[in-house]
Amino acid sequence: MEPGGARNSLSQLRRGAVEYYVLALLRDGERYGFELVRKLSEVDGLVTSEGTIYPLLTRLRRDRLVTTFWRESETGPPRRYYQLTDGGREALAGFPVEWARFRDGVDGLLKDEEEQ
Amino acid sequence: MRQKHPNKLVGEYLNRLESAAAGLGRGRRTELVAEIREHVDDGLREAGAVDEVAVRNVLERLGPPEEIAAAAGPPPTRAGRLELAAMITLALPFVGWIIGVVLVRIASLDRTREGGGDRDRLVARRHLGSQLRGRGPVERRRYPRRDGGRDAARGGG
Repeated sequence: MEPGGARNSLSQLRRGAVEYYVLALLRDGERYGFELVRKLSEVDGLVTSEGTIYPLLTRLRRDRLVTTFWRESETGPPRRYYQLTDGGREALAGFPVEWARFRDGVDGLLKDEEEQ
Repeated sequence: MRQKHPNKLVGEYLNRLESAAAGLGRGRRTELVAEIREHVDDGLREAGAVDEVAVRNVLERLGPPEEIAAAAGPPPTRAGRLELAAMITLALPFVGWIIGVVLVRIASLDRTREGGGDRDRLVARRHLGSQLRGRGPVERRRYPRRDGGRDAARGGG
């Protein structure tokens, strides 16, 4: 593996997980960007640069997993809100099974390594 | 476009983001800068102050603009741009051909409506037919060697 490759693939893993975490945060209703990003960065080690969440949100919208709309704010200018689409809800519903399979696979592999 | 913001530090940050995102399409870039601007303004409102510490904290958490731009997608590569140019260039002759066919068709319809001569219609149709079969009305002419003519001119002088 080239130098920095392991770190890079870890950040790839993280990025993949963040997508589903965003969908999960929207399960109970719409949220605006700042709110979403702050919630995400509360999870340890998930987000290092908050700004990188916005390109991810754009990708989710392009993949029709979320939609956006504007709503008046009481404290300032209108805000852009994100909400789940039916497709997003479906993707989120399928994730636990996929995640469990992935996690068990990786756990099993690491355990084998340990026993040797 | 230069990004303006009441706070100088934020303005500089947004300008850095704008240049770092130069490789994105214009729409994507404008949107990204607008989203980050909204985030900063929300963050400052939440902090309840626009002093330097609050600004620096919000920008620090956002991360380097270059990293944000990189997450939005790599700039189009030279190979990618060349491929796009090649596709457009390859498609052009076909587009021209289709427009030509449509124009001939319209012209022939117009002639029918105007009661124009059968001969013109026939010529247009025959020309189109030879295009369709892939042979243009090619004329080959062999020119005679011109040496004799030049000799004759010299002889005359």
